[in-house]
Formats: sequence, structure tokens, C-alpha cells
Amino acid sequence: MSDLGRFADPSILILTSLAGGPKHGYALIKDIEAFTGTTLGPGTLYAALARLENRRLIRSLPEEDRRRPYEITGVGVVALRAYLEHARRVAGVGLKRLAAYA
Amino acid sequence: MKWMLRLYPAWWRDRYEAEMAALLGDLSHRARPAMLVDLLRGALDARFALAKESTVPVTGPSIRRSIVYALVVWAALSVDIVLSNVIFPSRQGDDTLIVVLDYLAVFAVLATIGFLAARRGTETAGIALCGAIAGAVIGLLTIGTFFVVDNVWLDIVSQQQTKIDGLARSGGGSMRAYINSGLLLGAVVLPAMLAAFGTVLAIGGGSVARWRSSRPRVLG
Repeated sequence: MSDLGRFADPSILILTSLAGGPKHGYALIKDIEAFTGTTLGPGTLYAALARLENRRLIRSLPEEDRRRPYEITGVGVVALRAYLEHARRVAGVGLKRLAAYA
Repeated sequence: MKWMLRLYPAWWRDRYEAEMAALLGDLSHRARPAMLVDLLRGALDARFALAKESTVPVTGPSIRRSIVYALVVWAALSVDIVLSNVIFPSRQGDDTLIVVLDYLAVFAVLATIGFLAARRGTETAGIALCGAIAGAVIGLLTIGTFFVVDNVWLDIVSQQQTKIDGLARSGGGSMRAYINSGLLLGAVVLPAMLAAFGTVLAIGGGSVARWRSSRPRVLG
């Protein structure tokens, strides 16, 4: 996911949201707001969705009432898990070292 | 704010405009200047960065589905061919109505393939490819069915009046050779013709799908 550039962070948020089930654009924005407090703009959201779709990390589902839901793919699950486990190791080391300052 | 979508390139609008317009409708009560800036950045990104990437993510699955639909159509046509040529053969060979109905059914499926591909978000070029491939597959396999039926049940098929008249017009010779030379020509003409029809009809079906998804809906 390192090749996603400035869309890496939104991509992680989108994959995390889709790990909870398929969602369309507005549902993604609301869900990401709920678990991060960050609001993705529509331009940022779709730039990230397009990149994730190009990399087969997500796929689009048939349209429902003019809104197209997306779901995470098996490749996306593997990529997200690898990223989050790496982030957990980094967080663990960081928190342990910060404990020295407490 | 939907006018901002015109800043995006055509390929982007082809794929994402309808759903993004719906999203902007959902976000209309939260519109603020930052959203305009975000859309402008998105449009620039689509024009200059994303355009370099592969942008046909859903064409592959749509083509695979089109081939499956084509195989189903071919299976149905094969049953029809066996029934009308072997099980219930017509000596007069006047099967114009059945042939017309078969063609109409194939055309309807080709348009439906375009409709469904567009609903999956396939671009116009991908939709055209789906229709062309489906048409070619149907044409080629159907000629294959005729080849098997006409050669295995030659004694039945050769009693059709159209075949007898055709053989006489061709100057005589073997019925098998006459039928197979016709099928050889058909193996070139029918797939090419159905591929061309498939391209046009799939694009038409795709346009209907996009029109349906973009038209405003009356609520309440």
C-alpha cells in the first residue's frame, strides 16, 4: 500500500470501514467519521476508491438506488491485516518507549 | 456543487459521475468551501495522476459474465436447433418465424449484457468489448452446433426443401460438401455479424442503464 501516496491514509480508513461490510460513498464517510472523527471529502474519497479498485483491494457491487456499494476483496483483507499488524508493532514499541517519559 | 464534476476527465465521469453525484446530493446539507477545494484536488488528481493508472478495473469480470451469458444463449439455441432440425424437422424448411425470434432473443441478450455491464461500472469501451465477445462466441458456437447436427443427422437434414433447392442451385454434388461449405462461410460471417451487433446493442443497453441511474427520482 506504500504506492498509494497521499491517499494511503484515506485508503486504510476505507478498507477498515469496508472490513465491517459493504458500503456506498456516503455510508463510508459517516462510518469513518464515527470511528476516527475525520471527515473525508468526496474528491479524496473517490480518488482513494479508484486506486483501491485498480489494485483489486476493493470491488464495486451492483448499483442500489443510484449509489454503488463497495466491498473489500480477499486481497484487501490480507493487505489491511498486514498493515494493521505492522502498525500495532510500531505502536507497541512507541508506547513502550514513551512509558519512560511518564 | 455537482457542476464541479465537469472538471473531472471523461473517463472518470463515465465510471464514477452517477454515484459521485448521488454522494454530493447526500452531502448537500454539509457543503462548505473546503469541499470545493477537495473536489478540485480530486479532479486534478484524476486528470494528471490517476489517469496514468489502469482504469478498467471492472472490465474483466464483466467480460467473464458476458461469456457465461453467451454460453447460456448458445445452449438454448442448440436445443432449438436440434428440436427444429432433428426431433421435429420441417420438410418445407419454412422456419422464418423461429429464426427471427431466435435473432430477437440474441439481440435482447446482447443489449442486456451492455445494461448489466454498465450497472457494474464498466466503461463504454469495456461494454462494447463485452457485447462484441458475447456476439462472437454465440455466433461461433452456434455454427459449431450446426456443423455437428448437419453432419451427424445428415440423412434428416438433407430432406429439408431449402437444402435440396440450395444443392440444386449450386450445381449438384455431395449434400455433405454443400452443407459444410455453407457452414464454413457461416463460421466467418455469423460471428463477425453478431460481434458487430453485440457492440452496438451492448453500448445501447449500457446507455439505458446510465440514463436510468442518472435521471432524477421523484420521492414521496
